[in-house]
Amino acid sequence: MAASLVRTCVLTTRRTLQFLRPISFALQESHDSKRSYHRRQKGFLREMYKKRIDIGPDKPRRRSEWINWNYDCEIFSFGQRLGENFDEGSLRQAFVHRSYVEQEKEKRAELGIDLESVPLELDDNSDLANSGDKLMKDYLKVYLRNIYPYMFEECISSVCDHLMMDETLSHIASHLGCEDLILCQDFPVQPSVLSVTFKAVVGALEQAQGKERAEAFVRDFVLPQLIGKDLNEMWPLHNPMGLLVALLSLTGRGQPEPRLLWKSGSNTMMSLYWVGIYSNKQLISKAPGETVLIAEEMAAREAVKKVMRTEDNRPPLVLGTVAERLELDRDRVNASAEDIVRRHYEQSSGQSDSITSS
Amino acid sequence: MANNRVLQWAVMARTWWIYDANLQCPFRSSERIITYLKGKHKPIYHPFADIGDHVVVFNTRHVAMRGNFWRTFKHFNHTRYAGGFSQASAWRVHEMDPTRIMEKACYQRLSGLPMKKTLMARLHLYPDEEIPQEILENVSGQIRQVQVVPKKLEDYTEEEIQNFPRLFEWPENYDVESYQRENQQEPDQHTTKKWRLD
Repeated sequence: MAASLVRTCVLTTRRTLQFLRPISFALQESHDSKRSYHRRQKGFLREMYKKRIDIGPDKPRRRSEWINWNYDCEIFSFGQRLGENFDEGSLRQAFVHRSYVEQEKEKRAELGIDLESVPLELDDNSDLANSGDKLMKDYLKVYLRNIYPYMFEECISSVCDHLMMDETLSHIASHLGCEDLILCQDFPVQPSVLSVTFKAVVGALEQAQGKERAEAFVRDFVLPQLIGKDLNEMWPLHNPMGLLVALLSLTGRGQPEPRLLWKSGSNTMMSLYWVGIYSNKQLISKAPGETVLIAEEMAAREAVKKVMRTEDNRPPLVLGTVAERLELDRDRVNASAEDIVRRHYEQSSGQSDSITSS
Repeated sequence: MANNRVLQWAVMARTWWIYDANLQCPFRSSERIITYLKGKHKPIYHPFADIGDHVVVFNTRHVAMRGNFWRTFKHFNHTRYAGGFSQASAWRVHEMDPTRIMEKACYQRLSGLPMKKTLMARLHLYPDEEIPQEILENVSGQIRQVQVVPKKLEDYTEEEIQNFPRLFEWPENYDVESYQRENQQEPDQHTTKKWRLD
């Protein structure tokens, strides 16, 4: 009795599931589910295959166009999946893009509905996105300044900009499952729309649970994007040697002196040079390169990395439960490279003036 | 990713080594040389990875073989035609090509590798001390010799030879030369007639 009941259940579910699937899956059903097919099916299958080729792939559609879609339920479970208690109204607003509101207005105008008598009670997420954007930028900078106290302010801004890029944020948003929930005009959803939505979600979280919780959210989802990436590459430093000269002279050390440490295969395609930079006869840094000039530039970059304490063997970022105990100094401002270079030139020009006048 | 690029370049770039074969055993030397040709001294070594270094060997004319090997060690060849087999003793091969002994010793120890010939192309052999300048400019490391270079009798001064401690002195009328046999020109038994000098 029980066995037959189970069998009936399974059969019915299979039948219903077939309806739920997209057409392409339904067509391939006869290929996949059976281990063999009868010879009389051959012509039919071939014809269906040809038709599938002629029609081409299915056009991408929103998840909401398919059956079994409950927006209320999905909005609720979005918050539950992340373990956050969102305010439902603001979370809904966070997923409404400006283009969707405009589209709705156009639709109503086409239907001849007066917007003043029947107002469209739909707010877009731009306000939430702005507040989220501000919170994220502030927190990321504060966090980076405290974790890397020797890093220059320009480098911190570049790293923050990298994290706030549309590509990074859209990557996070799409993997959190925002893509299906977003209400916007274009489909597939553009990266810019995804990134705005992510900022709006952060803004909504700030409204619902306060600043601290929203910052923890940013720490858990945005900052891990830095893992495995080179922070120094994000900062476009065009003249590392100039910065190094300024740094060494301001700290009262000798001028940097590049020397060739080692070379191999100099007459071949795969020539390799190691250049070291010395100051006061002490090795500051060394780096390899295809030519002497490249190696010298890389050695200067290596020296700047050492000053910023962001070498390749630096300790990993403080994230997770350990990061909850971090005591961040919010008013902290790091040294600025531009400021250092300016001070160096003012000093050197002052000295040369005094030499010429005397 | 300039930093990663140069680091990778430094890992993958081929180093050039130099080896002085003066009075060295070719067989033991070749074992040391092929370690560098294959790249076995590198932490990224893998038998199918083409990461070997270049080795420049000079003074191959002055390699030293132990025992009776110059006479008895043979190099074989077969043309794959009927009766195409031939052999030559080591001294005869050395006389024809002074780099051949070293080359063959390395080549035979690379057996079982699919990249044998590629690796051999990175072995640069020179019979004497003259190495082309453009090759020498690439070199950045030296491979340690397998044995200490012995001092020859002609390297000692007459005074040092006279002062060498002796257990006894020969009597003045003792005939030193008489026990030595004449230098007979014996036929080179280990070389095919085609390659023989006589």
